[in-house]
Amino acid sequence: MYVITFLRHAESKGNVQQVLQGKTDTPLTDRGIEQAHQLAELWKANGVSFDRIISSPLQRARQTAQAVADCLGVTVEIDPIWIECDFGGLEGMSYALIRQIEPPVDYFTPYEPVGQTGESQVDLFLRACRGVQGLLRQPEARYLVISHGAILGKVMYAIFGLTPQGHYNSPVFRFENLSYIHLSYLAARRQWNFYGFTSPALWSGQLPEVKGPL
Amino acid sequence: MSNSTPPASYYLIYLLRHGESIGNAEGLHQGQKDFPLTPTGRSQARALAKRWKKERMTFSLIISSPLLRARQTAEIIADSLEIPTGFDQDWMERDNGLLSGLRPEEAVEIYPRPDFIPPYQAIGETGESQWELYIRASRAVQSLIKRPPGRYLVVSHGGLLNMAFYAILGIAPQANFTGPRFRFGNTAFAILTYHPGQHKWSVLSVNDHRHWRELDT
Repeated sequence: MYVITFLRHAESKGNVQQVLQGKTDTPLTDRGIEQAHQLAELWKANGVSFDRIISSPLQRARQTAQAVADCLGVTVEIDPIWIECDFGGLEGMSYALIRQIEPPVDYFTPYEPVGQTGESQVDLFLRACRGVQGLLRQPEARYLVISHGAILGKVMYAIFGLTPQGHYNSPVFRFENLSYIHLSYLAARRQWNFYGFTSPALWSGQLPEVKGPL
Repeated sequence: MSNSTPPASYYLIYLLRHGESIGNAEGLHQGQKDFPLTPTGRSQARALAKRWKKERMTFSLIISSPLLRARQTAEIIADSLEIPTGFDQDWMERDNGLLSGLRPEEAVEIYPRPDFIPPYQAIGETGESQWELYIRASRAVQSLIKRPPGRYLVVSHGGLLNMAFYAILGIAPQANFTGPRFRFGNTAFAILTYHPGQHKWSVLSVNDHRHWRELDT
């Protein structure tokens, strides 16, 4: 049986600056580093362990992975398949600016590249499918994959058998910093079991902030 | 956002599985057979009520399955948080036909698991097929969304909540039960939002049961 935990990175400089990061490479903030250590300690205290830790090559994921790996005594492997969505011309822009220059449209298809030259919803979905398939061609083990919000959303699609619908109306899994999804996969029965989706806001007893539509 | 401010334009929905029932404790196929909560089940519900009270949680309405294990869970929370409760039979657990109340080893002996089960086949001879359960769960979700936007707590069951998730995410039931399974512990819940203007569902968390650490005796 595979046991797989997909974790979004801790708070990065780009998160604090409220910019769309994508493949733009910003490091964790001091607070982000602290969050990653706290999660690692919490997992260690609760006897959580992993056989392999695989990370996106971007700093914010790698630094998160390293904090957990150091604490749990595992080596970090890097795989570029888990890198964040390429947001094309929107890369590195503030959300405020994006709202100004890209007002909501009546309709967009899942095939349109984000920011003119970036990945479409379908591109991202297909990459997520390849990522999941690659993982399931590895031996059965307990995996921790550290990646990013948009691509992890499409990983959920790959696992549940959903396809991107275009426009705004595909269901969304809202990953906060360090939100994680915990799954098992029984290869012989092609059976995914979804054991939980939680975020640090819930660990401290607070609700995640409910946000308006994107 | 403050927990006490009801959202005006969208839905905040908590999907909660009932506390431990006698049927759970004895490891039985329950279906629609009506088992009450065990003392542990009541304690789980009280711990959740206490947690939500501390978090100043409120709901516009609690909607519960009429089965005892859900109703008793809903009552403990409703009394503590002082929230009105309504019942909807569509949130009841799957009718599992003649499997109802059997131990798994009895069930396997009487109804051996076939090599292949289409999603349209009744279970336990007279029970609901996976499709029927999916259709009922879809109707339950639609009835909920026909209510005005607000904060809702639904108290239901593992099998039905799985099909509610299928209906919400757009997953069709698969043959041989090979579709994904959402594992809900007793009194574990999921948080979702729905924006009707964009027909947009968001999943915020699944299978949260942190209050298990605070069980009284």
